[in-house]
Amino acid sequence: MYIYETIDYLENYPANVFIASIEYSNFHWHLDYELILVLKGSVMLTDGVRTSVLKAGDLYLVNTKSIHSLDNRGERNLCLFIQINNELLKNPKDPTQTYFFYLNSQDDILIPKCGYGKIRQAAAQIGYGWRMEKATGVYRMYALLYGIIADLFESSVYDTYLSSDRNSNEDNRFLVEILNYIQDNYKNSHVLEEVCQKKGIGEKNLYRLLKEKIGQTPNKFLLENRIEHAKYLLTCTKKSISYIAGDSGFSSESTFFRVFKQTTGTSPLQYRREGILSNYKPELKNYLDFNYAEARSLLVKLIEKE
Amino acid sequence: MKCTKEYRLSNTDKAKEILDQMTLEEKIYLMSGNITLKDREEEMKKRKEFKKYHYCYKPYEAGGYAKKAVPAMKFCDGPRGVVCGTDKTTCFPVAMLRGATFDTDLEEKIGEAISEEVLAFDGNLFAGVCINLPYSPGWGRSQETYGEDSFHLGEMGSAMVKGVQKKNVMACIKHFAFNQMEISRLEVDIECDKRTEREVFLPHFKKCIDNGASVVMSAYNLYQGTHCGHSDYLLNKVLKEEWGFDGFIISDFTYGVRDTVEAANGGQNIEMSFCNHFGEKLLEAVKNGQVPESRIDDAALRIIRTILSFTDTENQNYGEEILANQDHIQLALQCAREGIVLIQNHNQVLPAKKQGKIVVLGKLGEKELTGDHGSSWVFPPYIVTPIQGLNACAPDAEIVYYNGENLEHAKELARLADLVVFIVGYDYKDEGEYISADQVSVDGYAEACGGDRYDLGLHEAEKRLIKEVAPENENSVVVLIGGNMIMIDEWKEDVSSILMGFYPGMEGGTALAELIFGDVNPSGKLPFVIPKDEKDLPQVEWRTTKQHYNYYHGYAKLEKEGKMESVPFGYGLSYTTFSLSNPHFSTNGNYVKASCEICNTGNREGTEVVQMYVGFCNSKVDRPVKVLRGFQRVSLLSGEKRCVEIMCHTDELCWYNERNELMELEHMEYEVYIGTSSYSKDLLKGKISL
Repeated sequence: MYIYETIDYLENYPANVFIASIEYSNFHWHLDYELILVLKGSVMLTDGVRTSVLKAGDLYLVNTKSIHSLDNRGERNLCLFIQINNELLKNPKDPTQTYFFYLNSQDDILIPKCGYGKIRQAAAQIGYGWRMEKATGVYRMYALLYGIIADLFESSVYDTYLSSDRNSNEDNRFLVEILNYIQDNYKNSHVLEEVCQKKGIGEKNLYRLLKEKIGQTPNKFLLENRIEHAKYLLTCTKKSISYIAGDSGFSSESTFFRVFKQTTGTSPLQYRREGILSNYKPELKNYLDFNYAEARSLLVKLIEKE
Repeated sequence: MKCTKEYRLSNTDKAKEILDQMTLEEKIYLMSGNITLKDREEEMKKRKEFKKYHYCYKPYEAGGYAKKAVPAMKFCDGPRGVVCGTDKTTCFPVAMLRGATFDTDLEEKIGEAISEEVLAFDGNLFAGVCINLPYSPGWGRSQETYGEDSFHLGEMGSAMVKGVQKKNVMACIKHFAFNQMEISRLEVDIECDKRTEREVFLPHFKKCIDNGASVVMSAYNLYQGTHCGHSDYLLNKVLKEEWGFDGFIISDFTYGVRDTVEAANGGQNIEMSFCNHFGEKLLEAVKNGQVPESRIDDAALRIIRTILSFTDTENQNYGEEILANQDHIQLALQCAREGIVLIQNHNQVLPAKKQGKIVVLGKLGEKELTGDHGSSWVFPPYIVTPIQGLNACAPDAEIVYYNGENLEHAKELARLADLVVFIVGYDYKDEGEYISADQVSVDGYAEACGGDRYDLGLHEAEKRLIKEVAPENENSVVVLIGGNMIMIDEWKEDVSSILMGFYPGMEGGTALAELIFGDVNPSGKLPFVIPKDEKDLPQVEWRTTKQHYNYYHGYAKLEKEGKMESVPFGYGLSYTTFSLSNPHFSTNGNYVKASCEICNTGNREGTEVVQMYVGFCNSKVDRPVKVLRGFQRVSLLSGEKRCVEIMCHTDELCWYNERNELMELEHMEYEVYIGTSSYSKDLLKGKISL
């Protein structure tokens, strides 16, 4: 589901490195730890129960098996991703332990002792393929990656989860299936009942699961998806309000009006009148193509800044 | 046990026969470590390279006389297990935790297990019976000894001696004497009056000798102006003449002998671990008449007789498979279960449920907590950390660990938890055998560490962590890690429960978890008092060349001065309750007897340590209010009742009369107490007359 430019400078390098422009990425998880450096624009990241809007220069680490989603919220962006193999962050003496780091440069409480600048610079250097033209470049690339890991352990706040895992793989898979089902079928007015039936989960448990893992109730999560779709139709099409209400999965026009006003603080008509431009194209859900030269010059600026 | 003193003395003629055939050079060869200076340099070089060439990675040998099949003395260090090998031997809890078990039977079994491991390295001597009395709990190596009370020290040390020697391994008691300061151990000159010497600092050494200890290691420090390793008074007069010690003396390593003539005449028998002042210098001193040959003959006879006695019995063949076997590891676990002390348990927060979210805080939570990195550093095949232990014991609970540096984050974790466990205290950097920065460069150690504690409380950051984070959750437990008393008053009311975990050995994390979750019922008792104010304890200048020891220290000092303690000596809680009744006190020949009925009045099985104290209020001389003179562990099922009887020989009640230089029994009325701690409310009182 990604369109991205990979940076393949090394075989067997224990991280995937790529630069992408993010439009939208559904809730998903992976074993890798994912270090995100925003080069341009902004991106909204929902990671478990926390949501952050990351701006150019911001740094964020998505932990292993952490369920997260990305959304550009209408602004074009450019991001560097370093997906670090989780094997690299295991305690050789006790591989059952999992580390959960707090690295989010939007956070001013859990700041790593070394500051964000050092890690940001190393990440930018990896993104740029720092000194790859030299014979020592291979070692430098490894050193930068291991340096980031060392800084994470030495400087950042992190919790250690023992073998009773924070998110077991199976639980995560199940949760992602549920979230994706709701996102793909929000037009159906009974999507929550459907998902419960299809996935064999009771309504109360569904409520508890979503509340715990993404910090939202199923209704709220569903509503957000519906409202986003409605906003797109309002600003990018000339469809009637009653059509939009129905197409977004609302049972009636009056419900749509009430809920839209509650959520966005403005009425659907006013929203359309103000013509808020949106690049939202739900059929894409992709990382967009971008100008690679632009990315490299942004990386150099970040490297030189420190 | 074959190698009793009587058995050893029966080998005197055999030893003399061998001695008669030896040249002076051969005799002197017995009297120092076999390592050459060059060997030592090689070893130090290697030490920089690999963990596997650590101190005592194989036994240090001294002497030997192959012609007559007298093996060398082969020294293995301790006390928390056998120091030899890497990732091989059983690492028991430190002696201070073992002291808290008040379980002499268990200590004897640990001694046996240790001696089996000594034999597996082809060693024949275990130098891990440390019975120095911590005058101040700040002594950095107090983890190596059993507690602050001389009687208790003597009982625990004797149990270890018996266990080790049962398997025909020589037990070496140390450090003789007055060695309870670490940083200044090489320079400090200790002074005290005769009563303090005889009633406080020497009785436990005498008891171990009486119980058959065959080897004594002299201390580094000076006593009354003389190096203990040279002390005619301590080594010849007290040890050999007065106490009739039949075995041999070895020096502490490298700096234990400073002068050839003074040491040899002072009664030193073996210079360890390499030959510096003995050897040719000693030969020279004998030849020019500074050291009489009889001194050499006495040393050689003692060495030959003792080693022969331990050799000609049926030493079983122990191979590597004995090292850290399941039985030995079980003993280490059992010991930690018995010795960890539950000091406080408000609202019965413990035992904890094995479910929900358990947050563990403090930098020691993920550490391997076995003790210092000095000469007692043991290298086991694995060590269970506190978080690993908790996780294994409660697989259904969600266990999250954070080192606690960021207080806001720690608070947030604590708020969401069902139980918060703080693992705080010390590690090898804070206390232990002192490795100075100089030694790091000269002796190839990895880093400077250890030393005495100038502050007896927790680190400031840990105190802040507890005080700020514990109020966020009503279920909070502090586990204290350290080798001796840690002050608790600044923060104890901020937490529900407190456990003294000491350095609990290779299975320490397992035992801690079993106690926290109630799989095991706590039964340990503090072998020291926790005062409300550090100043209530003797004050020691740690970096000094002179130190005076007063007659009173520890609980005896607090009690004499009428100062209320924070936690009494001998105190420890259980998850059940016990009641004591029907006390009876009597004398029976040379024994004082105290008995009572004890009933387990709670709803689960448990073990209580019943303690007997004797008081001296009617004494004509200045004596303690009361001191420990007996103890016994009693295990009872819920509702079970039993009679406990504790005896104490009247010799244990003597005081030292400086006028006639004798231990004397006062004929007067004594108070006798029986109970569950030294605290007056925990004791039943009676009187006896002698």
